[in-house]
Amino acid sequence: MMETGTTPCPGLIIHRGREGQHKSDVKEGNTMEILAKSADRNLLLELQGELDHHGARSALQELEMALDAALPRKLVLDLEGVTFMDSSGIALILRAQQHMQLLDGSLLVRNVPAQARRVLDAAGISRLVTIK
Amino acid sequence: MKTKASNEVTIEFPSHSRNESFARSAAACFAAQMDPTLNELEDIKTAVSEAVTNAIVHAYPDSIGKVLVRLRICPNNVLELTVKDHGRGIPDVDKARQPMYTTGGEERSGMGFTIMESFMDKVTIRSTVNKGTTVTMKKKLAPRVRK
Repeated sequence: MMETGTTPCPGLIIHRGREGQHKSDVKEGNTMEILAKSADRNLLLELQGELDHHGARSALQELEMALDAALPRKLVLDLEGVTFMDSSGIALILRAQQHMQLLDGSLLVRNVPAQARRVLDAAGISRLVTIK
Repeated sequence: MKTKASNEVTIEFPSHSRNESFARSAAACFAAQMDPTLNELEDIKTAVSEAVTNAIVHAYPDSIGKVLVRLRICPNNVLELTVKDHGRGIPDVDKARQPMYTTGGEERSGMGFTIMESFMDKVTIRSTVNKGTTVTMKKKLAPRVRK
């Protein structure tokens, strides 16, 4: 069970995009935010907004920062808040998968909206990554 | 020979990545007059996003150039989408179409053309090195039952 509280404690990292602790990007026109919650080397990243090439560039940086900070055994990417995704989202998921393989950990992608799911299915990503 | 269109629109914008969202939204707005299903609309937005992103990333890697998007409503409820640039071109189109092939670095998956081909009925790529690339996509929208 992942920590979802907001009180900082050892091993807990919380980036709150909406509430101002941390935003994935402040570049002009960026529409992607990542909310990160981590505890006991489990990292949950909730992606919100449009995951296109414009948004994915900052999201990739954010992903790598969060992974380097948490060094998780398990990474969960929650896409429930993704309102649009193209193949840039595939690049982000494959990057996450590579990182988790290096950490000898696992990746789960969950709550994938219908449009994003069709993009992942068209690319055959479910053969490479666990999607729930 | 060019098919006659009952309506068409052309938009042109600089290759800033923030225009990706604008381009697919504009395409969806234009296509809305064809009474598409939600899935069809999402297919159109996704394909436009892929083609425009290719132009932004690959045609103009070190500069800002013009990207043109043309949308045409053709007979038999076919939507024709054209994305054109005047960038550096694709040396080997067949190679570029292969899944997972990319020259765009880690932020690209190499699945752009695969997605376009999956979501559209027909994708044609014409490219000349140092002159530019034109991607033309066609999608027949399902006829809707009208009361």
